[in-house]
This record gives sequence, structure tokens and C-alpha cells, in this order.
Amino acid sequence: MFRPLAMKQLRIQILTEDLPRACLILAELGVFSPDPRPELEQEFPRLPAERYGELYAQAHSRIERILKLIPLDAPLRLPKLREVSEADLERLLVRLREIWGHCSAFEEEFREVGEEERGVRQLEHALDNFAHLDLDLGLLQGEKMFLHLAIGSAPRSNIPQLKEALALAGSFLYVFMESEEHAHIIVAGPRGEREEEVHHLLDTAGFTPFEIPRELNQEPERVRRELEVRRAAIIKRRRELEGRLQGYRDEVREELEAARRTLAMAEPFVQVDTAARSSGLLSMLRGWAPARDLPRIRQALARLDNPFLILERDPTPKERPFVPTAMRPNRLTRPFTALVKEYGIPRYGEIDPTLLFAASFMFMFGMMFGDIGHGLVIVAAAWFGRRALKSFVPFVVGNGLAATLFGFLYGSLFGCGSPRCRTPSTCSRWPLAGGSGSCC
Amino acid sequence: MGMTTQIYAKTRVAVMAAERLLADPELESLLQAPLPQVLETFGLTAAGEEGMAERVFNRTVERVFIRLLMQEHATLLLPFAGPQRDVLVYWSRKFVFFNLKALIRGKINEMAEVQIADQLHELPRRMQLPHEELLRADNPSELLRRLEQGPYQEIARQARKVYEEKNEPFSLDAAIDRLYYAGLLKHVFTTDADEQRPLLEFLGVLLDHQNLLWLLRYRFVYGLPPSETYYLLVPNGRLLGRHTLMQLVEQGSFEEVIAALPGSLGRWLEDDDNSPSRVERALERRAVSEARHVLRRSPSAASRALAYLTLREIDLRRIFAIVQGKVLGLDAATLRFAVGQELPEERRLWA
Repeated sequence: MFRPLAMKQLRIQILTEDLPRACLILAELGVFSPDPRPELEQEFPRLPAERYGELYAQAHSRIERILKLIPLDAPLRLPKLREVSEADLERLLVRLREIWGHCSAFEEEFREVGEEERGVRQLEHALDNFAHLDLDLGLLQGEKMFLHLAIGSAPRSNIPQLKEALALAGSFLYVFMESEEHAHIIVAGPRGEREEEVHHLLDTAGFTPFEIPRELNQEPERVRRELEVRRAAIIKRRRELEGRLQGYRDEVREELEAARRTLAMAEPFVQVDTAARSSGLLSMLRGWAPARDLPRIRQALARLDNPFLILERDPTPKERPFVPTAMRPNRLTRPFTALVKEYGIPRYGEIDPTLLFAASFMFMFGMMFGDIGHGLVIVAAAWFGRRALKSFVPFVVGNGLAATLFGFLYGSLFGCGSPRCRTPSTCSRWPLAGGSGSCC
Repeated sequence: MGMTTQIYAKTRVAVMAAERLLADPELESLLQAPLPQVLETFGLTAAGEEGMAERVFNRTVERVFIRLLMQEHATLLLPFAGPQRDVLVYWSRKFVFFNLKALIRGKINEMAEVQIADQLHELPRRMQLPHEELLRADNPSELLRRLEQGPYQEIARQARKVYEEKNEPFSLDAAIDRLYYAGLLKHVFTTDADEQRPLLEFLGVLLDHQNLLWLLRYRFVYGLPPSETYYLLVPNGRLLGRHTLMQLVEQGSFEEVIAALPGSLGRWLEDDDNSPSRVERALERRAVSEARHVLRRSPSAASRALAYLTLREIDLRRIFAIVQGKVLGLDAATLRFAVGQELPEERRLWA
């Protein structure tokens, strides 16, 4: 009652070809915990799950990235379990690589569109600013015979040092507009051998050049219209990109759902990690299971195509730190078990405090919130909200009942002392109420 | 930071310094001691077991030292709060940036995930990059896209620009290094005036050291022009300020740069011949000397903590060099050179 379930150390000897299926069956039962400690390395030198695990990790990482771009709405369902071979995983990985290649290209295109949009936005701001500048913009346009000019933006934090560095290259920097992150600048310097140096320096400093339209001086409205056209083209490109992505989503959705199912079915074999070892055709799977579930395990493994052998033994005292703890399942105490686990899971062989915890928790709750009315409201609320509370219904009902019980002891109903308590002679009926119960 | 906390933090730093920093006799005894004894001193006996590959051994030792440094860093942080704490926390980011460089370099050179992972420092969880996700990126562009979505957005953008337009890994390293020190300075500037001055003074010494090495490397190894070299420096050094650095980058040769260094810094280098490794050694000696001074005298607890971390990192690097040297069976003179001591005259040419 106060101890976790008795556990057995199992050594399941099976044929290597049955190993993935055995892992799947054991995972389905949910009572087997793999034991990854190194043992029998000489007799069973191979780790069959090693390569499998690598393939799984790569496939899993790819599908995770793909699902960020192509989310699957339907929850994962595994209608029929089947083992996933290493070859299956290899094929899946190749296909996921292809899909991810497409997704990565989409991501890159979205990034480029975003950058382009940012560029147009900056140019629009710059043009707004040019409109207020007392400057002949014709001077900034086109190639000059003696002057090298560059107009664009750079991260604001880089500007002071860039200015000094440009001075070393014989050039001049003028900031004509600043936003939160970027500064819009004009760089001017002599043409000739240092031009290339300036170009490299600007690149290093994260400079993005603007193209100043020739018509800006004479026909600013036409330039604005052109920018509008560019912006519209960007929006169109983004929509077209989203459309293509949607098309691709529809094309690969089913395949991805299947891939997700395959990976879910491959996971149990990956989880066994070094607990599964093999030598040629023979494999050994080592782990822990509650003693009372052994018949279920034998019965489930009987579904394997080939014979198997289970060797069982009790854990040795030295092994106790490695033995997993299986708490006794109980529908009434399950919510309390969840709370106990928040404090820490008792080690194997230690006392399981769930029952004591449940009793003391309800006792404390009742003592602190003792009131007949409130307690019954809690019970009623738990009953009506049973769908939302699920397994926590007994927890709330128990606390409600405890509050009600203490309510009787305190003589309290919805925060008021009982009407019968108004005279000291009737107080004795309410054991803990004393003579000073408050009244409505 | 209250007076009591200052005193507590200073005491903590002083106790750690007295207990853990290597005095010259201790360094000497480590140089003399056989390898098993050195390993035992640092709880590395298991790493010294026979049969371990040299690469694995080196990684194990390095990881132990980084873990040790990170543990001490976490201990030192405890009394600090606010901007001072932020400065100390940011200091440790250098290891994150190292990992970032290794990740990007590895991806550019199309190295296998395992090989890249092997080069990364093991860091406490609070400091980690999302390694797994970044490691699994198929190419540098994807890696940079991932980074752009996280807290290293600015670095990622800068790195992308440098990578896509130049494709020179060293310029990527340069951009990241510069951003690291610029970030450290930014944090120092948020501290109050009493803390800021000593922190800037000490950081200035470290920046002098870094700037001079970067300057020599960029100008005379990578052949960058003066303007780009200057741009990649952090002109907040104590002796090498803006104007000095602008003059230095315009010098035409290594020797001219050394000759043009300001007086007190030049004195640290005047006895040395002009090889880059000897300049680096001399600068490290200067940094150690300054850090020891800060550790004893600075009015700022954060500066003392930063000085301790700097000295401890140098010590651990020296011990690592001793361990590696002993594993390789190097002679005593080479080992001394590796830990920053002088080589005998007849060996200098070889060095």
C-alpha cells in the first residue's frame, strides 16, 4: 500500500529481426523501462539501435523543421502499429531531405522578400527625407568624374566608427536620417584607387545602397508611383510564394502525416538505446517491469513471429538506485500522485507517500476552508465541471467533502455561524464552534 | 550596489583569488610535476587513463577546465545585481561566441555534425545556443536564418552580410569578435559612474591587447587596408584610443607599428624581438600584471571579479598547455614557452 510496485529485471532474448517489433509491443504496453547500463558487452557487442537512433534523430530534426512551415492540424493517430525497419527510416530520411530542401528554399525566398520590403520601406523614408533637404539631388545621381558617391543605410551602431574609418580612406560620411536601428547616409570620396577600399569597408559595415531614381528631382510623384509599383510587386510575390507554399503543403501533407506516424512507431526502438544489444541473429533487451505485469508482457510478446525467452530476477540492493519507480495506480489517488511527483518521485523501495499526502492534504484543506455551504458548492462545481477536471474530480470532491465536514464541526454555513448557535446552550451541538459564532 | 554587498563581493573575490590563482612557485611545481600528479591536482585522473585517444583526452581536459571556470563564474555572480551583474554575465558570452564561430566555420567548410559538435565548448544550459537545431542546419544560410530568429539576431545579420558578400571566414570571426567587445562595452556603459571608470580602465587594457593583435593580424597577415582594419577594431583601449589606432593602422610594417606604440605599451615590447607570438606574450604579461593590480586595488567589486576571471582563464589555459605538453613529451624549455615564460636565447630562432 505504501510501497511502489515490486519490479523485476528482465532480459528478453529474441531474434534481431524481431527487435523493433518487440520494442513497439513493449512501448504499447507501457510497463517496460529500458535499462541502458553497460552489461554483456562481450557477448552482445553490437548496439542495433545506434545507427537506427542516428537515422531517427536526423529524420526527426528534419520533420520538426518542416512542420514549422507546414503545420499538421490533425492530432497524431496510430491506427495500426507496425515495426519500422532501418531501411524504412533510411528511405524516409531521403524523402524528408528532399521535402526540407523545398521548404528551405521557401524560407529563403520569404526572407529575401522580407529584405526587399524592408529596402523599399527604407527608400520611401529616405525619399520623404530628401524632400526636406536643401540639396540638388541631381548631384547625387549617376557616375561622377572625380567623385565617388554612395547613398544607403547602415546599422546605426556602426556609424561613428565607420565615419572615422572612411576618413582614413579619404572619404566623408554624412548622416541625413536616423531610424531606431538604421542610419541613412551619404558617402563621398575621390574616385580612383581607394574606391575599392571604400566599397569593401562599406560592405563590412553592413551598408545597403539605395538607388536614387533619376526622376526624383523633376518628377517625385512618378518616383513614388514606381515605389508603389515595387511594393505591389513585393506583395504579389509574397502572395504567389504563399500560394506555391500552400500548393506544396497540400502535395506533401499526407506524406508528412505518414512520416510522423512512422517516426512515432520508430521511437520505441530508439528509446531502448543501449538497453538493446545484439550478436548476429540474436539480440538481448534489458529493462525493468512491474512483477505483476510479467504475464501481460509474455502474452503480448507471443505476437512475435519467432520464439523468445524472458529471464527475470529481483533487483539487487546495489541496483536499487537504477530501478524505476512504478507508483500503484489508483483512480482516486491519481491526482494526488501527480502532486507528489512534483516534489520528487520516491526511489524504488522507499515509502510511497501518496495516501498519507492525500489524507493530510484533504484534512488541511477542510480545516482551513471548513464551511458546509462552501464545501458543498465545491463538490457541486466538481460534479458539473467533471469533463474539464477529468482525473482531478476525486481531488476536488474530496476537498469539498472535507470542507463540508469541518463546516459541521465549526458550525459555519457560507461564512455565517449557525442560527442555532445564537444561544450558548445550543453551541454544544457544534463541536468546535465555541460560543462566539458570528451570525448573519 | 550597497557598501555591504561591495565588501562581501570583494571578499569573495579575494578568497577565491588566494585559493585558486596560480602563484609563480605553483606554476613552477606544475611544470616540474609528472603528468599523473598534474592530472590528480585537477581531478582529471580518469582522463589520464591509458588507451584514450589524444584528441578525446584533450577535449576531456578542456571541458573540465571550462566547466570549472563556469562554476567559479556562477559563484562570483551571486553577490552582484543589476548592470554590474550584466557585465559579468556578458563576459562569459565569449564562449558562446566561440561556439558560434565554430558552428559557422564548420558549416562553411561542410564538416560533419559530429566533427563540429566536437569543437564546441560544453556550456551551462543558461548560456547555450540552440546547438542541436543549429548543428542540423543544412548550410550556412540556414544556420544564419535560425540565428536571426533568436537573441543573436544582430550578429547573424552582420555575419550574413560578411559571409554572403565576401565568403571569407576570417572576416566573419572579426565581425563576431568586434561585436562581442562592443557588447561588453555597451554593458559597462550602463553601470553607474563609480563602477564605470574602473571597469573601463581594466577593459581598456584588455582591449589594447586585443586591438594590437587584431591590427597586426588584419594589416599584415590578411592584408586589409588601414580603413577596414580600423573599422574592425574597438577604439576604447586605455592606451590605444581612436587617434593612436588611426595612426597605427596607417603604418606600413609590423616593425613600424611596434615602434609607433605609445610609451608605456612600447616599453612592454621593447625588449622583445618582433615576432607576433612574442608580442602576444608580452601583451599577455601586461594584461596579467594589470589584472593583478586591479584584483588588489580596484575600488570596484565588478572590476575585481572581471580581473579574477581573466586571470583564472589565463591560468587554466596555462595548465592545459602544461598537460598537453606533458602528454606530447615536450621538453621543459618548450613547456615554459607554452605557458608564457621565456625561451633560452639559442631556442628563440626556432620558436
